[in-house]
Amino acid sequence: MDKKEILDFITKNPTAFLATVEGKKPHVRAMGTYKADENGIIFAMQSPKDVYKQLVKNPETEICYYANSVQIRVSGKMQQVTDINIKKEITEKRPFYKPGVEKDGWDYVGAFILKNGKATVTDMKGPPTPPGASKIYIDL
Amino acid sequence: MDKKEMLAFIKENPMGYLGTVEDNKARVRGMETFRVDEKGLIFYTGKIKNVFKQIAKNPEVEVCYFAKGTQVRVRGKMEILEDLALKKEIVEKRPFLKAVHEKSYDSLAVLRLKPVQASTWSVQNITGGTTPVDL
Repeated sequence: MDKKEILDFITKNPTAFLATVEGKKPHVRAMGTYKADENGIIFAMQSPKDVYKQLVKNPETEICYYANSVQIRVSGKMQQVTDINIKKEITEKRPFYKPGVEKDGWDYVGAFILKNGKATVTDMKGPPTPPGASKIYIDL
Repeated sequence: MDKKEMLAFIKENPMGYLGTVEDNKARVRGMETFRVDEKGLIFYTGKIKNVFKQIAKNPEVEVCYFAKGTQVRVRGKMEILEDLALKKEIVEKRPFLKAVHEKSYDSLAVLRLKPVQASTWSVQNITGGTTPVDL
């Protein structure tokens, strides 16, 4: 898969398993990908959530997608999205954010973009990867 | 969900997304849960794999299961089991492991997660928080 095929796969299969680190402990949860394109992969969340606090403190993340026996992992550093227009668009698409926004303002919408992530693809339909084979990384 | 229901959910949906830490960075990949019982969750991998090296260095993990809009997250420490009978059983039941591990069970890693805490969440209650349960 090349960069374009990976972004298409993520757009079609947007459920991401997003991993973060808190202290020395990992956390992972399912999360919908808000958008994946040339500019990066965007995630949106309510800022009172633990995942938001974890990403602010330690932006190093990895996300895992899986569909049709293909697994894609993308690692990199999250950057906060501060663009109000994106936050407005997110709130339009996720109306359940509205009460929080009305109370706390746009800070309630936490958004992050993963730029220049490194992706690895594993196709479970193919033969198993030989032990010790080094991973192939695709720059997004 | 109580403990029993969570374990049943994992049994029915054994594909877990296993989070580990490597040099203060998060890692996650899909991983099959081989067995689920009162003693914990059993996973297997190759000792040559990064995931094994990460766990050997820092056994703290979290596993996320997600099916039909319901999510179960389980947190705890992984224990490395050197149980030859269990290794043989795993290789017997997962024939694709034979080529690499049948001659040397040493290279196969069996891991047991003794969960300390779990939480569930469901899209049916999207604004609701997670419900932690001590296991």
